[in-house]
Amino acid sequence: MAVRHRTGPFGTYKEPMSGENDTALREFVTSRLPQLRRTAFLMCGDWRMATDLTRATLARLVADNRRGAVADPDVYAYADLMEACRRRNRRREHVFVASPGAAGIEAESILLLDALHKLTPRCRAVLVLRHWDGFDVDATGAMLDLDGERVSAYERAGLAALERLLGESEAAMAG
Amino acid sequence: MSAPLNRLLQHVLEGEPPLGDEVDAIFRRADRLRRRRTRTVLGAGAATVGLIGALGYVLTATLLSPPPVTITPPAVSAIAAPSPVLSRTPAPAPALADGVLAVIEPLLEGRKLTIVPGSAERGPGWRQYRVTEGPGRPRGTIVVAVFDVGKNLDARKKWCFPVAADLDECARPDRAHGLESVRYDDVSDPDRQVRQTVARRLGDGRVLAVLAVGKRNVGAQRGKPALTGTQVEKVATDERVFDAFRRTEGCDDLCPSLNTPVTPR
Repeated sequence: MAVRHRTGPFGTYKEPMSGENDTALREFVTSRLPQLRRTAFLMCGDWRMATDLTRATLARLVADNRRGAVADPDVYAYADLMEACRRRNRRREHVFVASPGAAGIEAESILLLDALHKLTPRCRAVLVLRHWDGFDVDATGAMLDLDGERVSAYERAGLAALERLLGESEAAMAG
Repeated sequence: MSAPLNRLLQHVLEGEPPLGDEVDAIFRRADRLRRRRTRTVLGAGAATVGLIGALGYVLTATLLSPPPVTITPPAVSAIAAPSPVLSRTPAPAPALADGVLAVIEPLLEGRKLTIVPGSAERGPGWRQYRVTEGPGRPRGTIVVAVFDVGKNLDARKKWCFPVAADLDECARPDRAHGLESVRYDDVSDPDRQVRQTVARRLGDGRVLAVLAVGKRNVGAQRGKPALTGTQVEKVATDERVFDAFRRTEGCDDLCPSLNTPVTPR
């Protein structure tokens, strides 16, 4: 079985190649699923929706990889997930939804999620991919179809806006 | 701020629900997606094949359809010059089925003689045809005329075949198969021979005259008619020729001239 080893932000894994059997593909899906779902939650704020979007993205990845249409599974998966989140957020107002049975979320976490979702979708996607998933500028640009300068610009603008929003929220809570 | 932001985001994800059997669900969903795509591809292929077939049929039907039918008027011959035997210029014959021609033409076959195309002329009770030998060498004219000899006679008089030398005398006809006939051949002029037979059908009293006259001074066969005397008699005694004329038809004032006239007496 031809398996290519790739080093990513989450360590080294076997990258499934076109035409391989489902074992390597299943290994890839198993290793990527938790992180992809967390990324989806940061983008949409709803665990149920994050689970559905992640499942759909990975299903498309599996189907396309079986017919040899996937060159880079990571880029494919994150690009597809970001596009799905963008389409989904366009259709509905953002609402934070805790997972069933959760003990409760700290107020700071809610403030952070609220500040994150007040950013533009591009800024939020760049911050999540760069500071949560740990991708470099080039990989982030490939996933969002942006060049390196635009990624850096979105990142700077997003961080500045996030600091300002969090500062305003903390001031409000202190006052 | 990268490290602090990452730590802050980890706190946000503290209430993460368990995954369950998501991996199996993903692969089942991938299988459904593949089947749906396969059906879509097959459906699109079938639709494409159907579309190509339909377009091919339409194009083939359009390109190979026959041109619209155009009705061309039947060829009408120029008015033929009057035969020396005829005294009037007849009207051209319309393109109708000709029962007389159907009897005459077989007699010309095999003798290099043909009815001039478009030369057939007709009038009430008569038909006329010009004959050529080979490429345009005239062989005279054939005239067929029918007479209703009884309509102008009173009850005391009876029509009879004339004698060629004395038209007031009655000739003795040959009788066969319900018909009486007399031949009136005249070969006294070798450059213009005449073959004529007059026949009467006993059933209806109608009289039929068939005349074949040669063309003077044309070719080696100059003067000889297209039909022999026997052939002329055969035409005159053919029931089909009588039947080719309507019962009400009869040569009256506008008949072609015959060598031996048929007149009621």
